[in-house]
Amino acid sequence: MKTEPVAPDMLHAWAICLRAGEEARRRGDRRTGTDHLLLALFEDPSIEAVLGVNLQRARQALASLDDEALATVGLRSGAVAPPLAMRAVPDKPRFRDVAQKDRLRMAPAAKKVLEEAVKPNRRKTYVTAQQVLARILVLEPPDPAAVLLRALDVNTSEALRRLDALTPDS
Amino acid sequence: MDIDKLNVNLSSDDPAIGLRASLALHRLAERVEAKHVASAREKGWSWQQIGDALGVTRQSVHTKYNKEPS
Repeated sequence: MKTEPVAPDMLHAWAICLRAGEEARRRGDRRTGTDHLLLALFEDPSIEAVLGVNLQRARQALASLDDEALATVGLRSGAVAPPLAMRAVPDKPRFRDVAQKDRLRMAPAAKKVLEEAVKPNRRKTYVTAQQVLARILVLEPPDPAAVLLRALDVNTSEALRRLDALTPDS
Repeated sequence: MDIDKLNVNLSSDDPAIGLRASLALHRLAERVEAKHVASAREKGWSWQQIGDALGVTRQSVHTKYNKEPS
């Protein structure tokens, strides 16, 4: 059977899931949400240019959102418990990597984003970070990724325009 | 913590804030647990003792925490 080469900007969808899962674990989440999916996309350097923010700032914004939310129930700052350590994610995960017993499950919204992003692709296990970002940018609060983008002052329609410029054929 | 303030805030009727606070509390609890499991191991606690303290089995706490970070 002939196997087609994979375009260089294609990421393995499982690698995105696993990286997003590690972002979720780092925060102490039990589910991988759309916000973690967004953080995982920064693996592709073009995402930073499209959004105008970097991974570090996005993580800080999530921490600030948590701090604000905790303040409403009378707790101050998450400094009492630092983020958890992340584990390495292989670029091309095998089935045994995604079938780990302690893997975090995906939130339904995150699952939907990934499913819709891979839909136009012939190989459903490969997707570009741009394809996933395009699905995330159309989400509305209270979706966690939309809340994060708003907190980062990202203009989503402007970001979508920049994405289109990157991928003229989409 | 100011209990009166907490009561006032918990009765806030903005679900966006309330639900976010609930999730943030879950995250905080998870991080507090991880921090203190690590500290218990450093102090020589067995997985059995940690499991007993958390009300879970030795195996589940071991599976969850006995991982080498990257």
